[in-house]
Amino acid sequence: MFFSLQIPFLSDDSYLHLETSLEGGSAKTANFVFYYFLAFILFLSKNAVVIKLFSNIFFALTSVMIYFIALRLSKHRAFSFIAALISGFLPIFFSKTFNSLTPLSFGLFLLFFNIYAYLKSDKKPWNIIYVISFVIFSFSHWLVIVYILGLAVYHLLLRIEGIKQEKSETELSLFSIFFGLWAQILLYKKVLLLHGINVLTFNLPAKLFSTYFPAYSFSTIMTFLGIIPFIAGLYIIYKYSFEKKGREITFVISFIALFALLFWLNFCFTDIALILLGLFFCILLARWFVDFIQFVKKTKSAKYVYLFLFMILILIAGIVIPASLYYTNLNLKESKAYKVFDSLEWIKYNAPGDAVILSLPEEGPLITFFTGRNVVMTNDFFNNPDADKKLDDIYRIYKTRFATEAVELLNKYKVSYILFSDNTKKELGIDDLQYVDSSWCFSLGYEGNSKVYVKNPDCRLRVVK
Amino acid sequence: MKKVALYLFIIVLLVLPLLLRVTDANLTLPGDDVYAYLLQEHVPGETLPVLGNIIHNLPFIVLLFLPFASILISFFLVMKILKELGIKKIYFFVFILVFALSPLTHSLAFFIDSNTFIFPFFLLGFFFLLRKNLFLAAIPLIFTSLISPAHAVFNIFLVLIIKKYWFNSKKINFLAVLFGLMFLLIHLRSLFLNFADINLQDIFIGFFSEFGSYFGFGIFEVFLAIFGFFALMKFKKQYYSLFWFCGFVILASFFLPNLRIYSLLIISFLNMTFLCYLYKWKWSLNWLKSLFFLTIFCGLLFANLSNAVTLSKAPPSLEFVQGLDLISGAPPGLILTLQDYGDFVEFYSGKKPLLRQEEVSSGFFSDYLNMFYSTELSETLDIMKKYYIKYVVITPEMKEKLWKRDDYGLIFLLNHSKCFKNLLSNDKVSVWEVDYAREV
Repeated sequence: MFFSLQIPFLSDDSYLHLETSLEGGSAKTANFVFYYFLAFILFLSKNAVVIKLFSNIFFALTSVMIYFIALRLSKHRAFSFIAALISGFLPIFFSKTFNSLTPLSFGLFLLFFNIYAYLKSDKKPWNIIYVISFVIFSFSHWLVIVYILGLAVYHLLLRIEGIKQEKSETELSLFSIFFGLWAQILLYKKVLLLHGINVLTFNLPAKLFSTYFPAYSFSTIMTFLGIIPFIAGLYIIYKYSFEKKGREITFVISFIALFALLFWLNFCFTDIALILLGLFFCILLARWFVDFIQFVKKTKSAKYVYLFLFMILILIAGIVIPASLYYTNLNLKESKAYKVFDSLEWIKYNAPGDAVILSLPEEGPLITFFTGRNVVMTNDFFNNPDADKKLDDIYRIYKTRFATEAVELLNKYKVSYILFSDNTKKELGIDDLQYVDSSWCFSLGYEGNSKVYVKNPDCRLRVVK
Repeated sequence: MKKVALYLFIIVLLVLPLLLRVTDANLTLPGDDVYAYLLQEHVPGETLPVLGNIIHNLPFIVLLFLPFASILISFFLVMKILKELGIKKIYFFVFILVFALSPLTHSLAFFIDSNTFIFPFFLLGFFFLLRKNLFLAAIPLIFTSLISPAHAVFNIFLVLIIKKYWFNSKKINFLAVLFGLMFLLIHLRSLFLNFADINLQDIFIGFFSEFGSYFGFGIFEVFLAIFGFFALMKFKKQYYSLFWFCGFVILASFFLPNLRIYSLLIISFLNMTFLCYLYKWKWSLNWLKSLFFLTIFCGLLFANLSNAVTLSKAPPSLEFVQGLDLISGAPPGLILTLQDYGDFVEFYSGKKPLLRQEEVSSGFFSDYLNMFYSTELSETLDIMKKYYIKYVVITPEMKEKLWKRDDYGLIFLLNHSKCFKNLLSNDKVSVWEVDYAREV
């Protein structure tokens, strides 16, 4: 909250969700529980602090859930607290979420709450709590599909390791698998019909694949995951897979194995997969602390155990906190809202109410939110049947040298204003629109941090023999 | 009373896609195979000419309800088979219910194609086979084996499985050899299929009704079947061959839609097994049991209802037929459209399409593609003139499949040249007349 309140804007992708909720468009999305929740908060107050509080509260609660799960695994309050604290500062988690208003916050919280409730499901009220929270989860975020797969991997691992399965656990898993599957088919029915197999890649246009599935280097991934939680986690996975057997640790290991696989196969957005892997490694970190203490106490260095521990904590903090701040700063520098805000203000006061604005898809939600005008395309590709075609057209308009080609495409989408930002320059590798100077069809409406071109409404394309 | 309610429920479910289509004022026959039969000229490759004669002579209203009648007969035969197999009462009703709730059963009750005849005939043959009446079993099974290699191969294996687990006689060996010979003699040519054309993505989409397949299974029932398969694993040593046979049929039906009618029976059987297994399981959380079965029922029912809506909108649409009707009285000439539409375009417009599903020479096919993709007006008109093309029929599906951009190929020429006169444009179709006189 402290860092979030230093900035006047939310992260760029947040405006899509804010707009969806304000529009009452929750019916068209699968995460409708989150949008109704957000709509209710917006109904109570549209104050920026309230919105930021809402956006951060679930991320913070996720760390609380990490504490409880770690406590269940380690039976040690202090180490669980440290693990939860580190999870909150995990570079990938902190930098990508601290200023973000997204259904992921709710999804992450529910995922970890469900894991905790499942681990406690042998006790009476918890199996009922689990079923209720799972039903909410099923209608809140697509992470429920990953959760179901995690359950399947867990039961497979239990079988392989020969660990006896609790009857109530099997029953809850069966219910979760079939209810979750049914709920997802119900929610994504139209999307499945619309996109077919492309649903697996979230209907992302091929051109933007590398944006959502960036190929990070090994060192970057290590920095994102905080190195020490990662190494400690790997040690625990090794130990509890080959030497000791534990039902609860196997449960967490199932999810790590699954996310690693999804990350490797590019079936889960890279950032989300890394966030989840990082958080699961933090849970294992608490267990590692306990095992480490027990090990050192058996050695001749037993009297230095707390000194070792202190040094490790300093090392973790020394790696994790600066990395978090560095990536947070980097994300802020890349924020589009800062760079286009003045142009959006100009559009808001000068463009007619029914004007259609051309921009890159990721700038679309900003335009819709701040100006109230329509755009050709936003980055909500899941609800856009012609995403590939539209993106291709948008790129052609920006890159073409011919006014005729641009005019025909602009007329096709009824576009009257073109936003040309620094981001457009960087992403498409162009300095400016090449046809604007040579054609009377276009004029420069505004020039500040970015430019806004106005298309002459009388400009049309005619075939002359 | 409960029995009657169940049967009534099943009948309502099966007739639902047809009712939805009729209430939408679309009285056209769904699917494209039926038009091939009705035209009698171009009967699809995998069928018998006699089917074309039967369908051609049936009144329209009978044709509309023919698949429904066929599936009712199939239901009756399935029930007889289950009784013959000695399936217990609870298993019997669960099987009937999951079988009725499968989207594929819906498709069988909706489209007229070779399966309308094959499925009841196969069940009849299977029933007689179980009753050890080989002569009566041979007749319907020979009929189904004549239709496609997939059916012939299935019948050979079916006979071998029956021989292993049900009864063994010299006569049954003879039956297996007979199907084998029929397969080799009749379908030898089909063995040389062009497997290079197989597109895994299309196959995957075609297998599941949720992705819009008209002849696929629900994801939910396939999932249940997987669990059913694991529930039966304890019998794998006892029924080793049967496990392999069923697994092979389901896997093969991914690639060969003809085999899906058999997979339907296997999947329904696996669903039944799993559901009955869980019903008998001593639940430690008793309250969850009802919730679980409610979820399963809702899952199957929703897949079924959603499939009914999809099926009811199967082509040809009312708007499409109206567009074709417009050119039925117009001057003669051939129609250029997607080859998949060939049969119903001819049926409703009375004018021949340039190309249907039949095989043509590479030169002819290259001209056909050039008409769609060439941006040279003169070249396009020259080819059109060569083949006496007078009309062009374009659908949104064609725009999606053929042209990635709106300003490309024939679609660009249609919109920008005066040689093409737009006769009709609506959401489902646009019809153009070629005016060679305006060519410059």
